[in-house]
Amino acid sequence: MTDKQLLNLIESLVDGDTTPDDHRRLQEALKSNSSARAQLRERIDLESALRTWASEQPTAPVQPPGPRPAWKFRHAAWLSLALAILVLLLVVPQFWNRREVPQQGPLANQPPIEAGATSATHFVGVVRQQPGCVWDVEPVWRAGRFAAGRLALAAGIAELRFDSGTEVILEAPCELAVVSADVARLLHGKVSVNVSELSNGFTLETPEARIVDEGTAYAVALDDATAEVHVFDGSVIWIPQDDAAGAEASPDRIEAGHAKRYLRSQPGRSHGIPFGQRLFVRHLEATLKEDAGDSLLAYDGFENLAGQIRRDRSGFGWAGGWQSARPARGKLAAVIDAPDDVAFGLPRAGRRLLLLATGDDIRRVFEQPLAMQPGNTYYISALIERRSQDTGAGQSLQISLGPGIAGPGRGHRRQQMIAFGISSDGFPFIKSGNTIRETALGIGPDETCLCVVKLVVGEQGLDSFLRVYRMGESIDEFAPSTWTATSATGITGSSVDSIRLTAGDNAAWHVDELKVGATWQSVTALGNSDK
Amino acid sequence: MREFEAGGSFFHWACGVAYNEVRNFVTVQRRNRLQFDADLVELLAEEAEAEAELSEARLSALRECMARLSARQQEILRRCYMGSTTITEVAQGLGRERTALYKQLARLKQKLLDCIRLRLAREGAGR
Repeated sequence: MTDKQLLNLIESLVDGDTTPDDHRRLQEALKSNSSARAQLRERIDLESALRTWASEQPTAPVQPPGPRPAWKFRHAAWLSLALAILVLLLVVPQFWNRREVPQQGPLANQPPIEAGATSATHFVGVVRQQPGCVWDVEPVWRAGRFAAGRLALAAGIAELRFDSGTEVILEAPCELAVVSADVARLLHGKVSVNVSELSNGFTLETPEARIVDEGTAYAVALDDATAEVHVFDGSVIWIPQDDAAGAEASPDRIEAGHAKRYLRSQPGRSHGIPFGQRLFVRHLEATLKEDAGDSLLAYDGFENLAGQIRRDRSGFGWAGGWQSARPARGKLAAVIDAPDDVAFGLPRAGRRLLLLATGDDIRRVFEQPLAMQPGNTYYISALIERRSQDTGAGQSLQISLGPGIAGPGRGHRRQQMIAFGISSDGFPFIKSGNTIRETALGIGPDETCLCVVKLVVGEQGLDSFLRVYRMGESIDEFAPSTWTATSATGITGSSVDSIRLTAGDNAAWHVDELKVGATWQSVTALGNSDK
Repeated sequence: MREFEAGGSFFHWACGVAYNEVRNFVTVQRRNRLQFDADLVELLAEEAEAEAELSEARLSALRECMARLSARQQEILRRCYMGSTTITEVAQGLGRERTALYKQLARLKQKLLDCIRLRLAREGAGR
């Protein structure tokens, strides 16, 4: 196919004139030719940019309406094109954040609940949701942006990122009315609120009170009888509504690390309750960090995330969020609901984990590189479960540590210093340099295991040890003297700056409770994390 | 589009960003009966994500290139891309034949593409 023919096919697609034969030819060209895809993206970028530019222009004087033409230009084709543009560009939500387009068509066919918000729907932020989210009442949204109005989440976790700089995480079941970019009303359920430094403040209302932040991260649980407020950072002011007689109620300040409960029938009277009594998503990591102390260097339980893993939100001890480990910025893994089970003493109902599948390859940089000086010892642990039933190639999972800049194999050829995981045929392994040691016992599908690796930096190099615990086994209180597999002495650099998770091309793995610590106890105390 | 509904990675991506948009897209594609394979859509989405900065640069360049068009040319593009009017209605409003408007649109878009490419090349951001 010549360039001219390809351009004509792309133009036909964009204009909505494509025939089935042209469509097939274009698809074949796009599948086999990266240059063709680049041309299509350029053309779609132009369409999208023109739409954006047009929506920014002031409206010209309206022409007197003439007779309506009997034959309408392929409206469905235009709509299809617009949506195709959205599909291609919505992978970059921040790109669309600046692109409000006039409301039209079937995308926003749900009427806003708030009175007055009818024809000129005002979008106030970006919504992100976990796979599997179920809405009883969907937000009024367009291009990933949501508008004022009532919404009800029946299952899953969703996050509203208000343009005001505030993030509100909804945990189902939850019902909320968005009033504006800086006001929302909780009607039922649990929300966590993070008011960023850039925000001018955020007010969360309940039917009986207003909660005003003072540079805050907090959570609220509202049921039929009570409202609970738990403050993680900063402080909030609980302002009850005036009573029926018009008497002014006294505001109540709640500081970080404290929680209070209010009867909805008496919102002016507070009752102190133990902080952390209720399991908010936001609270899990703070408790874990407090329990583990300084010896837990980095942790990610994959909480506080919705959908595709990307943002620098979950865990601690990291310099940033998860990124693709591939040079071309490939796809990223997804965060999903954990099963309603107990894994090595850790109840996981209502929590999240990482789904690493089909070639996902992600990397996260430590806040402080691990110094590879002789005498230092580090531990790494993770809960791992193979989800695929297949037994062919490409089913592996590998967790590896990468050297810092001064380490071996600088630049894009940097080598992993140590790796462990499960091979395609189900056998746990540990790899150091070019030597791989596999265990004798395999791990089957749907079997959750706890992998713990000990790294000892010696004068001669790096020694590593792998211990795999199967469900039902007790975790050793101290580092064991016998291991499931022991590596050969491997190379070491001056530091380790990142950890990398890699799934085989046909694999599906659950990864949870990823920990890097300086002591055995810091990475194996799973059952203590929710107390 | 079975793959989308079966919980594949594209489905996860779509859910994480704007599931409603994608659902509508899928619906429209079904209606048109001309669908790209799911793996191609996923590939295009991944590559678009990787080129996010380039897309933004193109938008920025387009705004500058627009300033070089005449007021009349800008008005034609504005009407055609506002999304609330059909091409036929735009042609009638401008007192033009629909075919002639199509040709002029094609020329304008090619002119804009050339301008965008030139600007990106100067800035070293082109492909």
